[in-house]
Amino acid sequence: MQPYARLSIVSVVLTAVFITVNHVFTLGPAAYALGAVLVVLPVVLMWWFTATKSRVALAGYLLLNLWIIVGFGLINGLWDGTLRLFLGTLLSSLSTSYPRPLIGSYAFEASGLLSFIGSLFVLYYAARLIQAYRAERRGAAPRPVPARRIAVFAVTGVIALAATVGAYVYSDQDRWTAPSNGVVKIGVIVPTEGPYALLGTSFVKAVQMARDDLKDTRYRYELVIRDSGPDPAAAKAVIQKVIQDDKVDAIVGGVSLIGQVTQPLATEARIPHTCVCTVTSIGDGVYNFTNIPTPEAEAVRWVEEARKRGIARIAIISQDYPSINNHVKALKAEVARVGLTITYETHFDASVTEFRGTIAAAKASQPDVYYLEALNPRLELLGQQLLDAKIRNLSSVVAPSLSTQPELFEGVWYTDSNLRDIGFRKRFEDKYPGTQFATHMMPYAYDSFHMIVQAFERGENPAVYLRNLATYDGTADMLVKGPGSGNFKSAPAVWMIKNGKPELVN
Amino acid sequence: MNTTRLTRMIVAVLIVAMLGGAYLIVARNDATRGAKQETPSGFFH
Repeated sequence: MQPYARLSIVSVVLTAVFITVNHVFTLGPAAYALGAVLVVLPVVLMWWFTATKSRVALAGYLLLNLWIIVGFGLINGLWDGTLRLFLGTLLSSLSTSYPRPLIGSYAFEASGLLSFIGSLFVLYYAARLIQAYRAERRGAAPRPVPARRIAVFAVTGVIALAATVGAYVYSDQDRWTAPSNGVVKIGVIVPTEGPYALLGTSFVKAVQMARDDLKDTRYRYELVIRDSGPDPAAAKAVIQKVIQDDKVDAIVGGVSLIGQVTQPLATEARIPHTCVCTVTSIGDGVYNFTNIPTPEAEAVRWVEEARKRGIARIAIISQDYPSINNHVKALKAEVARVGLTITYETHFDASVTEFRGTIAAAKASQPDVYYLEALNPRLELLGQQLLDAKIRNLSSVVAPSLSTQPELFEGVWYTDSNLRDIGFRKRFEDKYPGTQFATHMMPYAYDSFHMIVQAFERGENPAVYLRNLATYDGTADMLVKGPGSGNFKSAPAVWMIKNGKPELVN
Repeated sequence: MNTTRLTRMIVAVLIVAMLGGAYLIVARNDATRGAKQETPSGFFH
């Protein structure tokens, strides 16, 4: 019996090491505690068993083996690891009704595979140990396993494997399910307070308008509107509640910080999530899709317009804020690519209220245009002081359309999302008087909702429908998505503040 | 070559094939997805 006891414990310890490595990626340092339990307990029980031949020790040891085989080998290693990686990848390459699996680092994936393989060795040596134990109790040498029994084991194993593969193929597919009671619940999750109050509130109203515009639909569409709050950490609980308690069929969201939190939760729930977000990695093309022009697209359009206007020298005055910094980064890359000159650049802190010195320094660099980007109220303070300095050759990306005092930016040109259906803004303003229309978000919120509705009305699984959707004739523009991509792209347009209101230039 | 040795060889080849296959899938996924870390950009997005 000794050789099998030794081989059994070696296979258990090695498998426990693979399990620990694999769980470090999901549990963090807590995985080491799990690893310690999986190594120490079997070793102690085996020592007890070999020293005393205690049946209790053997039973305890075999129970731990069972935990490793079923829990970590078959469920974690085979189903969640091996089948996901190999079969999931294969299925998704054959049909878009299968989601492309999430794939981790090689260390994670290899340790998952090895957990499964190791558990098979644990199973084999546990069986041999039991056989040897029984023979020892009979006082005889272990009998060789009859060929017929080996054949039965092999056939049973193949059938079990085929059944497991079949079950995976069935469960992995995203199928159409008609909504219960004919009601489709769509979660609308955006922050509507603090710095996001204007955008978030308008976003919600655009989705409400999209719902109100529906006519003669097969299903009834119910909005589950929730304020995620601006803090991503706190937003998680809100989103989880919407998915688990409200049981929404899809999510329409906005703002990247919140979209990044929603993404894994939507994936886990296997429901589509459209996000009016610029972080393109949120749109994985599986369950998550973004819908807005990228900062790079805005930069390209801005530079194109600047060159058309004969602008060669640019002074940049922008607030030091992550989103603005990234936007300026895209602009500078495009400016450098076409050979324009940045004559002056400054990024001011949110506490700054006095810009006269900055304006004078920028002016001294003799720019053709002053590029501004800031959040309210710094944007208005800067606008007022530029007006006082009689500087009107200003430009931006999006910012003037969000200003609470657009009259400060009269005549200023900027790029923003296109608005092909110009009547959309009028309908929005008529329906919600007093609500500021944010061009770069509202049409996309409206279109995102309608895309999901289209899927249900056509009787298609909404995630699969979005995966297959290549173009969408949107309110803002023709939205285009490449195969496998999760980003609906559209071209920005040039706008100008005229009579205190944004107006399309082209 | 006896049966035991052949079985061991087949098992070893299968394990290496699985690990190699996993490596290729992970490498292709990394190449498709890209490794860049994005932070929100654009206006408030």
